Amino acid sequence: MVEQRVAGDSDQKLVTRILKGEKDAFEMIMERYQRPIINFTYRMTHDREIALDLAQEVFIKAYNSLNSYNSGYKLSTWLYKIASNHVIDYLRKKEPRWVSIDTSAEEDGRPMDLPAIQENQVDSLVFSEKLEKIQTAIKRLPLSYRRLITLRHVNECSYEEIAAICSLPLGTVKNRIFRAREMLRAELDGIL
Amino acid sequence: MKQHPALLDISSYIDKELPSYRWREVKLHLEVCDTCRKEATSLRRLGEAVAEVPTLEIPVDFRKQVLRRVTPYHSYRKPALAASIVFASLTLLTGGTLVGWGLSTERGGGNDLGTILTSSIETILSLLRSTILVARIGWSVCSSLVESLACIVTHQGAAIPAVLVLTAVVLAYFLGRSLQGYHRNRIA
Repeated sequence: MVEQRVAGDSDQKLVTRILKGEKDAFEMIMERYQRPIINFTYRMTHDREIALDLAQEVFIKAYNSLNSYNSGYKLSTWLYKIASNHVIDYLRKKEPRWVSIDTSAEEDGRPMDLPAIQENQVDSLVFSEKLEKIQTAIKRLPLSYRRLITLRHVNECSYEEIAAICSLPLGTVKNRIFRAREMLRAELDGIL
Repeated sequence: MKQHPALLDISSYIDKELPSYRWREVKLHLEVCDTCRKEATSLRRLGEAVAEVPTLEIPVDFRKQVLRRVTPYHSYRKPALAASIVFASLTLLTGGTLVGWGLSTERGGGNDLGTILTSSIETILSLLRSTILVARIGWSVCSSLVESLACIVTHQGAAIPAVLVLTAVVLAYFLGRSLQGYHRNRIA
């Protein structure tokens, strides 16, 4: 009976109940939004463990900030905003230093010492060649474009929602999505 | 519509993000223009391809793990409120005793225990009366302040009780000073 009541509650009602001390009501919010949030973090990072860790942190951040949640916004938009900022922060900190392959190979005659691929980075999912190429192309997009294209196609957010999530003007969202598509098309020429 | 729509508009068209009149214009154009239709089809396929990349399997205990790392809102608010009251009361009592001791010295009663105690009790009672009065007037303001402070407690640890003590000490000092002035006038 309680479960049924929880399942039927609106996001706003669940938020009110959490703020009254019903921690478990947050589980229902997570059940509603864990898939899109995890999909988002995964598409942005392309690493299973990191994506799950980031998604957990996003939900913890959201829980701790629930008292500042403005019910004028959709909860999903608010959660995506937290997720988007968190992932971008993470990726900016983790940005790899660029190394010239030519210089490294020429200097001492040995092949460049690339970091070994860790076991957790090798996903159990087997991608087809086409999917792999699409994934690589998405990964090559600049962060700000990758974020928009993921929100649009993976999370099916409207331009208006994306503008709210990324704090960007609507026109900029429209332009960047268009440019991101052009970049992807150039990368995936002949594959699609 | 004879002119080709801008590529940007075709991109917005497939996302259904054009104003309705413009959307209809582009739609009609696509029905008659092969080039633009191919463009739209290509963009649509791209969107589908991006969306079809496999999603991640969510661990069964994902939600439990998150819930283990968060605290119910009530559980930290009540102790925070209780702690604030205890801190404030202790500070007021200490402040009252100190002011009472000062008054007993001014009255020329020396440091004998009876005078100090009488002055202290008088002062504490005056302080409490003033506190109740102030509390009644500012209850709505204070309650919202305490709520906000209680929320910060989880994030700021011991910093907030320290601020509360400091605030209470300052309040006690000013109350004490004004009462001291009042008593001095009465004695004079």
